[in-house]
This record gives sequence, C-alpha cells and structure tokens, in this order.
Amino acid sequence: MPDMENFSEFCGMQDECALAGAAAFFAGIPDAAVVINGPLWCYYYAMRHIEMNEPLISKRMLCTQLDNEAIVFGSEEYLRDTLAPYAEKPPSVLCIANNCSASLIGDDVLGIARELGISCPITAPESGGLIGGFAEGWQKASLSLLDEVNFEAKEKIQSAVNLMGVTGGYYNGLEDADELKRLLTLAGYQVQACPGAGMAFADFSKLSRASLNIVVHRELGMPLARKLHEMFGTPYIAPLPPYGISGTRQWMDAVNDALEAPAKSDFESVCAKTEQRIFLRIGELKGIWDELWYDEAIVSGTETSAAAFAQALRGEWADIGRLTLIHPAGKKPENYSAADDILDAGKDIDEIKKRFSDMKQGIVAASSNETTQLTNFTDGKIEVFPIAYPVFDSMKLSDAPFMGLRGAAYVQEVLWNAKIHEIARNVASEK
Amino acid sequence: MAIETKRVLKCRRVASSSCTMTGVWRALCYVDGAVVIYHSPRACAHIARRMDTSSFCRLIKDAPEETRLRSIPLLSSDLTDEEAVFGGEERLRRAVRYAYEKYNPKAVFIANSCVSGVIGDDTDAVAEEMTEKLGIPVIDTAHHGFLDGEYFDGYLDAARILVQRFMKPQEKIPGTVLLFGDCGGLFGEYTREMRRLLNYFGLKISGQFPSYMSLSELEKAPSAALTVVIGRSESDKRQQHFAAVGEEFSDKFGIPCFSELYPVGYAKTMEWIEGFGKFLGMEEAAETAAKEEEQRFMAYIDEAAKTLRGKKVVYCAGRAAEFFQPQTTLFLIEKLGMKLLGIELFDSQDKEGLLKKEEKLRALTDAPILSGDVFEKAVMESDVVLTTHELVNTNVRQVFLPCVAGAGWTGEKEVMDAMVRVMHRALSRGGLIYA
Repeated sequence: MPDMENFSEFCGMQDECALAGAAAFFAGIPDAAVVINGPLWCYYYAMRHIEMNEPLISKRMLCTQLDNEAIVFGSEEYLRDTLAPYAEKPPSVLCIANNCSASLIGDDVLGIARELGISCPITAPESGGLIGGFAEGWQKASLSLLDEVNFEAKEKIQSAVNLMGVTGGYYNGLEDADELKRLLTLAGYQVQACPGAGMAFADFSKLSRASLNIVVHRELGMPLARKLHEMFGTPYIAPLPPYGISGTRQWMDAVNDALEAPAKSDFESVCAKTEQRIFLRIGELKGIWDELWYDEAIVSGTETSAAAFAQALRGEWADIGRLTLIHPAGKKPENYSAADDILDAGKDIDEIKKRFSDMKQGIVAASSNETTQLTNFTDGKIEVFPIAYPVFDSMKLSDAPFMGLRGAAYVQEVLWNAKIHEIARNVASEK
Repeated sequence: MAIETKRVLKCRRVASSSCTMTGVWRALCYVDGAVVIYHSPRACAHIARRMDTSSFCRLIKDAPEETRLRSIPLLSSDLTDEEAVFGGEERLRRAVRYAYEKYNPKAVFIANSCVSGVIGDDTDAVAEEMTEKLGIPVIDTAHHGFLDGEYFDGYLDAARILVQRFMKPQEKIPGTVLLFGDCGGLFGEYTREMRRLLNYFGLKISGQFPSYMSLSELEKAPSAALTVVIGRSESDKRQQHFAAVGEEFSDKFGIPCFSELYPVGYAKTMEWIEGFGKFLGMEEAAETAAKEEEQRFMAYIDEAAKTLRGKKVVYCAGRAAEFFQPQTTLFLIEKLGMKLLGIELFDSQDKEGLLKKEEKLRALTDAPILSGDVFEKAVMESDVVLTTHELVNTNVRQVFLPCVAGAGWTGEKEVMDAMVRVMHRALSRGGLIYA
C-alpha cells in the first residue's frame, strides 16, 4: 500500500501521552503540585508512569475525577473541590493539566483556580493527548512555566551552564543527570539549573544566569533552550547524549567548543584513567570468556537516547553482526551511520515484528514494550537491557547512570556479567 | 514514625475509574480475524500498550501459555487537534479502509474515545457506510471512553455483539461446557480451578468466551452442552449484566446456563458445588466434591495454623465500599486462631461510603476500628498487617490482599501462604508480600 497514509498500530507504541509528559515535568519540581483535570483512568496512567521513578508522587498529584456531567456542564465544580486545599496551603507552583476531553471543553481553569484565591504561580499547559506524546507534553509544560518565573536580572556567570531536557520520566533519567553534573563540575563548570529534574521552583530564576544551555534530550529540551535564547540570548547546544567513553569525550568537546571548560584537563585525566581501568579489567577476563559478540542487536527507545546508546553499543562496548535502530514514528535521526538498519516504529511495524520474532541470539536494548515481543523472550539467549520505560522485566535499584564515565563502566559490567552467566548456564544445562 | 500508605485516593464521586475502550479491547484481543480501531488520539493506544506489556510480564509467571497467544491488530485513528475542530469521521473512514487493506480482516470493530464523544462524530453512520463499501462487518461499539461507561460496559458491549452477529446454532456435544467470562483468561488460575471443579461432574471446557475464540470458532461456540458464567461476585451489578448476556446467549441457542453462583472463596465454593449439583441433577457428585474440598481446605488451615495461631494481626481495608468484602479475611483470621487487633478503613471514601463499610464490619466482627496513634500502636504491636494498600513503612510485615479474589479457595490459600512466609521473615526486613 505505497500510497496509503499510516495509522498507528499499538505494537509500535513507544512512549506515553502528553498528559504524562506534562505531569512528569512538574513532578520533577519537588515543591510543585500537579492536578490532573480529567477522569481517574487518565490520571492513573500518567501517575503510574511517574511512580516508576517517584513512588510517592500521589501525595502531590491529584485528580479532579471528571465524569460525563463535567464534560457536558463544565469542570468548574470538580476543579474547585480538588483545588480547595491549595487555597490554604499553596505549593510553590501549581500545574493544572487537562486530559484530552477536558482540553476540548475549554474551561477557564486558570480563572477558576485564581478565583479560589490560590496565591502561588499557577500554570495550565496544553497537555491533552491530541497534542502528541510524552515529549510534546513535557515541552509545553516547560514553556508554560517561564511566564511565572522572576528571573534574576544579574549578569551571566562565566562558567555556568544549564542542563535542559532531562527528566525522571525517562528511564534512569535522573541518574544520568547526576553523572552529567558530576562531569561538568569536574571540568570546572558550574551547573546552574536543571529544570524538571529535581530543581526547586525558586531555582528556576537562575536559568537566566547561565552562559550556555546544554540540551541533553533534544525532543524534550530544544523548545525551552530556544526560548531562553530568545529571552536572554543564551546560546545552546544539543550534541547526542554521552554514552560510552568516546561518546562522553565527544560530548564534553562539544560543550568545551561552545564554552571553554575551566578545568578540562581534570576531566580528561579522569576520563583516561576510567578508560584504562575498564580496558584492562575487561582484557583480563576476555582471556577466559572470549569476546562480547551479538549476532544481532536491536535498540529502541526515546529519540535521542536510542541513537546515542546504539552508537556506543557498537562503537565501544560489543561486536555486533547486525544492528537495528528503531526510532519513534517520524523521528529518523539525521546522518546516522552506527546502525545497519534504521526502522520507523510507526511505518515499519511489520518488519519490526518480524525482527523480534526471528531473533535467536543477541541483545535488545529497549523498553518492555519491545522485549515482550520477542518470541524467545524467556529462553535466556537474548540479552535484554532496558533503556526506556516501561520496564516490568528488570530490576535496577542502584544509582548507576548509563551516560558518562560511570555509565560506560556500568553498562559494560552488566553486559559482561550476562554473557558469563549465560555461558555458565548453557554448560550446566548441557550436563 | 507515622504509618503511611503509598497511595490512597479519596473518591469524590461515584465516577468511572476506567475506560470503555480497554474493555472492548480485552473482549476482542485474541479474536482472530478481527481488527480493533480506537477512534481516539494516539495516547489512548499508548495506554492499551502499556496495560498489555505489564499483563504479559505477569502472565509469564502466572499463565505462561497465554503469552504464546498473539493479539489481533489494534489501530488508532490518531485524532489530532484538527479533527477536534473539523470532526474525525473522515479520518475514521480512512483508518477502517487501511485496516481492511492491510490485514484483510473478517470484521472491524470501532471503540470510541471520549474525544470522539465530545466532538460528536457519527461513528455508527461511518460503520454502516464502510460495511457496505467493504463487504465485511464494520461494527461500532456503543460507548465513548469514560463518558458513558467504564471498562466492563465496553467488554459487555463487545461480548453481546459477538453473540448476536457471529454465532450460529450447532448440534450439541455432550459433556462440554462453554465458560462465559474472563477472570484472568483461558490459562489463568480461575479457569484452572474451574476445570478442576467441573471434573467432579465429568464435564470438560470446550472454550472460553469472549476473548479466546477466533471469529470462526465463535460460530461453533453454541455446540457446548452447557454454559457456565464465571465471575467474582453475584452482588456486583456489572457481573449481573454480564450474566444476563450469558442467559441471552443460552436462550438463543437452547443451552442450559448456570449463572447464579460463583465459586470464589471457600464458603462460596461450597455453595457453588451444592448449587451446581442441584442444577445438573447430580447431587451425589456434589456431595462427594464438597466433602473432598472441605477435607483439603481444613487440612490446609491446620497446617497454616501451626505457624499462625495466636499471632497478632491488623487488617487495613482501604477499598471503596462497593469492593469491600471483609468476610473472607475475617473468616480466615478466625479459623487460623489469630488475634485481630483492629481494622483501619483509611480515608479513601466520603462519609457515606465509610459508614457503609463500618456497617458491613459490625455485622461480622466486634474488633475495634482503628485510626491515628491507636492504629500506629497496633501496627507496631502486630506480627502481620493484612492490607489492601501498601504501607510505606519499611519495618512492618505486610501481606497485600488482592483486589480480585481467586476461584475455589485459592485466594485463602495464597493469603495463608503469604502469612506463613512473612512470619519467617526477619522483622528488620519488613516489607510486603503479595498474596
């Protein structure tokens, strides 16, 4: 059907809805509250996503519990009921996020909230599923807040940078953010702000003082970076996120090109030491266990993470027969050469299904949405490495990042241990 | 440290907490030959995807056979802002045609979202028009997301359509039973238990309706000699509606239907065995079955009581009044000789709901209803907390009570197993065991 338009098949679904994205941005502000103006169903699904990273978010994420009557006659009464406690005890900032149907009825949610006398800044970003997925919701939410911030009018700090487009709504997102902050600090930068990733509302005022905005996940952070450029003239860069040692070097080089690092040699020295330690340790065990080889690798995840992770997987961590990158529908990476095949999660769904069902040996770095499509999911010959939510088939409790130097060590540690255990298991089962 | 729960939501109204589209999907997800279209934004299909992924992982543990079933295609018509302004009928037409050309289905089902309801698309007319154009049934289901129903309404609607449109009279095969309902699916614990109970009466399951039969198998479903409707509770209104569909099916095809009782929990299972025996005119088989079940159950109680007798328990019951069924838990506590320190109802309902729950409790026990400091003290004094809501305190041994009870007395068995296991856990470890 070459001339036909494409409709989303649910097997190709990779992310969450815009409501979850908007809520995740505000969940990343520890003193913010989020009110979902919608039915319990949508609320639960947005919350379930956020709970994966922040298990007690329900304490500051509420729902107006809309029903048919609210859609016909308006949601005012429902909003009043839910928002009333905030008139007495306002959070630092309040987000009211509409689900799809609430966004269509056009209630003046901000007006209703203001009438209640809620004294804190309130924002109501577009967040219904009609606007798109997680990233679109996150973008709108991040922009909606800017009007409420009293930015510091002081001049920029020479070595200060902001990290943009980082979220706990992405798998391991906050651990990665911590590693990036560590590396930037090591190189002598002052990390000023990281909106939506654990930064208090009051600290948003510092966004204006950075000399450079570094966008980590482009699909999330670019609109905010552009807006801050427009408002304060702050330059921004958006290199691929730093996976692997060489990916990390390239990333830091890009930062350094845009804003000279006060202590780049400190970073380089730690980088070289880490690289050598990993190299020698792996070299020692290679003598016993052979090389890390995968007949096939499939990498699927969020737009920038998947591409960057696949690059490090082949470029640094393992030898791979055929590497397939699955990117979110319509978001093909440009000038990308690390993968043998690049498939679109929307258009290439039949080929993607075939790849999963035919796979015999290899690695799938993806979310549980993809790994559960493997026909041989349980036979242990395919290594599964989660890089995106949802994750129901793997436990990660440590704060090890995937990005940066610590991430490079952690990912290789997991891959090598899996290989060694697989060989041991195979020998045991042959006996 | 105060006792806190991970998540207690205060229900403000009797609002729908689910969506009809997922009910439609569940009823049809393995009905080979069909395609489902969510007339919705993409976002709604994200949710279906997430549900299925989570369910797949649970099934690997509980019913791995089901993970080998392949679900049918589910598409979204991908409604956007543009359709919200100009209407989504044309987009739906195109989605139906796309499904027809790509999957060559025998039927297409449309599940409508709240968005489709708000913008007022005439999806019935689109379905009729496309049926005529394509020459296959294109069927519009009745509801719109959460607006005019919930999960079960969507499920019911799809089931009724399958009975009315795809089944044909058949010659009966003696000794066969068509299970009518889901309850965890064809390979789940309920059906396994049902198979065991039906065995007492020399009956075999020929199929499970609606999700587990292809469109061609559905045609032959009326060959069963008997219909048994499965469910969790006779008093549940939704279940009553579903039982009515089972009765309609049975009347239409002249098949006897047993739908009055559900074997969920020990006491109810004994009732079911007796009632089912009478229904079949096999009282003697029922008596034998009841005796055997009683012996097995009491032996299990005796074994568990060796560990649990005299142990102190707090019961945390945070579920809404309509789902509040404390009988089984209280029955177990008594049979095991445990000491009930009290019951906490949590602030999850309005006053009326709480009163209803208290009333139910008072008819069953005089154990105190706890709150605040008294509750905290009781929890700290207890050996185990039986709870419907996870407590975030790490130094409390908890057994999580499932919302959906198992068939036969598997529910009680699992709670007993969990309590026994938790007693072997160092208190320093605390934490939750799922029953």
